[in-house]
Amino acid sequence: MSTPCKRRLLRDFKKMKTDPPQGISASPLNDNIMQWNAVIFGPDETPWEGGTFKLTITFTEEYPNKPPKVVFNTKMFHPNIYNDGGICLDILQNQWSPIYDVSAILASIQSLLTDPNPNSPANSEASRLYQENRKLYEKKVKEMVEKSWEEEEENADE
Amino acid sequence: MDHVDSSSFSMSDYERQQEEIESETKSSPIVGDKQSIESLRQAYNPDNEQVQKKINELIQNYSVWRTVRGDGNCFIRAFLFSVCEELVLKKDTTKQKHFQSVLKNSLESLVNLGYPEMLLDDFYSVLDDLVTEIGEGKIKSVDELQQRFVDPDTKDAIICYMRFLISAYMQLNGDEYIPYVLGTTDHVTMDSYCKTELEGMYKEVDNIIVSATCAACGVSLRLECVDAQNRDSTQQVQTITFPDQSEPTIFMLYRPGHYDILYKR
Repeated sequence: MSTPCKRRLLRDFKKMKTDPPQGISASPLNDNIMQWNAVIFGPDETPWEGGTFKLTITFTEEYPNKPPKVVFNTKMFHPNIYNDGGICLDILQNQWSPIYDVSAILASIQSLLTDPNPNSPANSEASRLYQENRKLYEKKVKEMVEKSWEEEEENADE
Repeated sequence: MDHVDSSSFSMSDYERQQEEIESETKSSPIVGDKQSIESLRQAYNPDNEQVQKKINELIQNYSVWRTVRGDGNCFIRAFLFSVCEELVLKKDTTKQKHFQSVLKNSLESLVNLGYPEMLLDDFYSVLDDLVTEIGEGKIKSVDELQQRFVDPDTKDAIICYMRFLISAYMQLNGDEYIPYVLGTTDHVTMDSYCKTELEGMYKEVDNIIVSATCAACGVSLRLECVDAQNRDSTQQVQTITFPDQSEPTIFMLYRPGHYDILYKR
C-alpha cells in the first residue's frame, strides 16, 4: 500500500475514534484497512429518527486523490440513493477533494438524508414522492427505519 | 419521451475504457527526461505540413523539451517542476524564500477560508519540505529533483497542495476572476468553481487557472501553442505570456489539452 494512503487512513481512523461526528461511527475491518464498516444514525426530529443505517466504504490506493466507494447495506428509501445502495452525492463524484476524510464523507451523507437533492434522482419514486407528496414520502421513510431495526435483530440472531 | 438506447454501451464498458485510458496514461513518465526539440516532430503527424512549419519555428527558439504525464495534472506539474528547477539551477535564495513565503501565506489563507488545517498540512508539508531542501542545497541537481517529482510519497501531495494554493488565490482575488468564471462556465461563485474545476486531482485546468497560477506564485510563463489547426494565414505558433507583457522565466508547449516543458536556446 502506498504510504500517503496508509498514513491518511490511519489518521482518519484516529479521528473517528477520538472525535467522531454526532450519530456516526466507522472503523476498518480487522484485517483490511482499505475496507470500512460505518453506521449512520438517523438524525433526531426527522423521519429518519431512530434508524441505524449501515454502510461499507471501500478505498483504493489512490485515496485521497480519488474518493472511496460508499454504499448503503441497509435498504434505503431516498431520492439520491439507488436500490443497490449506491449514493448519488457530488462530493463522492465530480466534487471530490482530497481534504474530505471519512468523518466529512459520512457527515455529508448524514445531512443528505434529511436534505435530498431532487435534481439528481437515483430513486425516481422517492424523488417524486419527496416533491409531490411529502406525507407519504415520510411514511415510507419511517417504514424503512423500522425495517432497519428488523435487519439489526436478524443480524443479532445470527 | 426519447430514450437513447444504452444497451450497446454499458457502465462496465465505460469503466473498462476508462481503465484502458488510465493504464495507457500511466505508462508515460510523470516527469520525462529532457529530449532534443527535434523529437517533437514525432509527437505530431509528420505529414501535416502546417504543424511541421510551426515546429520549425519553435526549433529556432527552443533546443530541448521535457514531457509531463497527461493525467490532468500536467499543467500544474509542469509549472511546479519548472519553478523548482529554476531554484535548483540558479540557487537564488531570494526566489527560494519568496516561493516558500507564498506557500506559507497560502496555508494561512486557506485556514482563514475554513479549510481543515490538519488535512491540508499533509500536502503542504511535503511541498514545503521539498522547497526547503532545495534552499539548503540537499537537492543538488535537476536529476535529483526529477526523482523527487516521481517519488510515491511526493508526487501527488505537491500537486494537490498547488491546487489548493491556486484555489486560495482565486477566491481571495475573486473580483478579478469572477467575470471569466461567469462568462465561460456554468458556475456562479468562485467557491463552486474552485471546488469543482480546480481542487480535485486530475482535473484539467483552463486558461483562467493558468493565469491565476502565475499570478499566485509571481512567475512569468510563456505558452507556445502548437496545434493542427490553421488559425490564420500566417500559420505562426501562437504565443501567450502570463502575465501579459512580462518577461517569461518558464516556457511550455501547449497542445490542446496538454502541456509539456520547453527550454530556451
